[in-house]
Amino acid sequence: MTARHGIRILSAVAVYAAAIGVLVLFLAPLIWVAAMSFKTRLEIFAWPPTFFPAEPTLQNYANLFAPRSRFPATVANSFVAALIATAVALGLGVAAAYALASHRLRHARAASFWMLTFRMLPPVALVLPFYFVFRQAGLLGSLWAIGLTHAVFSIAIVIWMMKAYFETLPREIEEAARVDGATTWQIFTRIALPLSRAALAATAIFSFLTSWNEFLFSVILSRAQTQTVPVAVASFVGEVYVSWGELAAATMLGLLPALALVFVGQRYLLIGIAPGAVK
Amino acid sequence: MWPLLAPAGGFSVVFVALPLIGLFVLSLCNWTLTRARSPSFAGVSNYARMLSDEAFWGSLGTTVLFTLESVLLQLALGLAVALLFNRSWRGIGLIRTLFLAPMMIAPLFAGMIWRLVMSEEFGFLKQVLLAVGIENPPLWLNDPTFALHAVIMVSVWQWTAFVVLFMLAGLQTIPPELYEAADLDGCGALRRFRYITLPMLMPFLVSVGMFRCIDGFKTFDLIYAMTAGGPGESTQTISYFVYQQGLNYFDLGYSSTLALTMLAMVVAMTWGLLAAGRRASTR
Repeated sequence: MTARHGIRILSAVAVYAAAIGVLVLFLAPLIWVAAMSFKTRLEIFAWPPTFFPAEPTLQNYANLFAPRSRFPATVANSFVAALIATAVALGLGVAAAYALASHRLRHARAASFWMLTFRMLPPVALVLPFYFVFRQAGLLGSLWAIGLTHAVFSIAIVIWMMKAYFETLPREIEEAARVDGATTWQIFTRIALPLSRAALAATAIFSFLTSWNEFLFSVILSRAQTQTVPVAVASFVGEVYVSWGELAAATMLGLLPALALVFVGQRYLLIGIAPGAVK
Repeated sequence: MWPLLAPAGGFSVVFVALPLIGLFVLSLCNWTLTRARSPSFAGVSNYARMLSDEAFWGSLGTTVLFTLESVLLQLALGLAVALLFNRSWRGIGLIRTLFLAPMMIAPLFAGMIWRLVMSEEFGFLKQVLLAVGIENPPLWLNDPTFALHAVIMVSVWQWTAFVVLFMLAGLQTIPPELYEAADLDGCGALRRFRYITLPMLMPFLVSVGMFRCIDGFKTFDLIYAMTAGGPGESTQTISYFVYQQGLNYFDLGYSSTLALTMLAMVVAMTWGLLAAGRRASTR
């Protein structure tokens, strides 16, 4: 073994050690809270502290799903709101993305700019008029109000992602179909959509997560029976007796869908966050 | 083509354009829901009030400090981590994927997690600092001079992965021939970074910085979850200030004025940064 070889092995070990170190540093808070959700109240406050639970318990989770607990209903509310938002956003957004991606639309640039700026809007600027209108309409607290307002941001994401994807489809296919007499609607539904299944799935997951994670609209537009998971988690701390273990457990359950999404793939992630940055 | 666009266009009119027009009309009215049944026209008095409101200028300053400090830290840390992760070695791919976890989490959950981590009574951070011999660790969220930096720390924790993602994509676009040529010329690692990597990454740094600035400027959930603007007003961002005026004090006229001003700032930032991005990418 030459000296040069030895240095290369050493530097490889150093890189791995640094990479794992960085990862552990960033994931430590998550892992600590996950561990905390399996601890008894006594152990959470114990000194010297434990990192991993000495006597793991499922009590915190059991309490969340106890018969009188409101938590299961908030999970259901989050699901319903996210489904409404995703259905609306996909239904309207995919068609719009296809139109904006085609080169046969005049003023497409201006239209794109308008639809794409939604992502930039400060939510707090929209929530005031929403609150006022839904209050007047007597819809304050309805899951439809929450789902539809979440769709504003979901639709922006759908258009960002799907427009970027449709632009990668070869234009020859579309032109060939047009020569054969197919209408725009037929090309869209029979050619473009079937070719985009993977992108559609990724887009749907993203718009679901956008709604699942949304907080401001949910907290303003919901009432006690229609609280979503983030709203319920936020209201924990305001209570007189805070069960820290249950708070940790509820937080872990709330971020499960997000963690599942990490594994969907970085490629789609990047398209979803910043189309145009990558081709 | 237009029929495909029309439904989304209609939705955007109802849920974005009309509310924004409503916001503008409300900003010209005096209307506190708890006091008056109906709005009364107030002209630009809400805007005059805003300009002389110290709390507004304070929250604006807090927001700018929050945005600059958190985005600069995210960019620096994100670039460093991306250079470390930019290898197609066995296992690095998995590390990269797991590293994305914080940015997928709802900011509200991130805030809650860190509230627990920074707890005075049982927090992990306190335990670690005591274990390494630091007897009086900072009070984190209860210290008015430190709370903002504590929240910034959480935002850096959450969004560094976002920068890493962009930087890794950027690093892929650098032709390896450039490095080979630099090697032939006998350039060291530092000079390669200074004269090849950094300039090639510049457009990516600008565009990711733009995203992060806009999102940072709007920060609300994190503040709500961690400090509710306190202690005092030390972490009151402009989003939180708008929320408080509108939905705690129900002063719809004044909060609409603030919201619209904030919207104008975000739009200006978007345009400014877009223009900067275009300049950086054509260079």
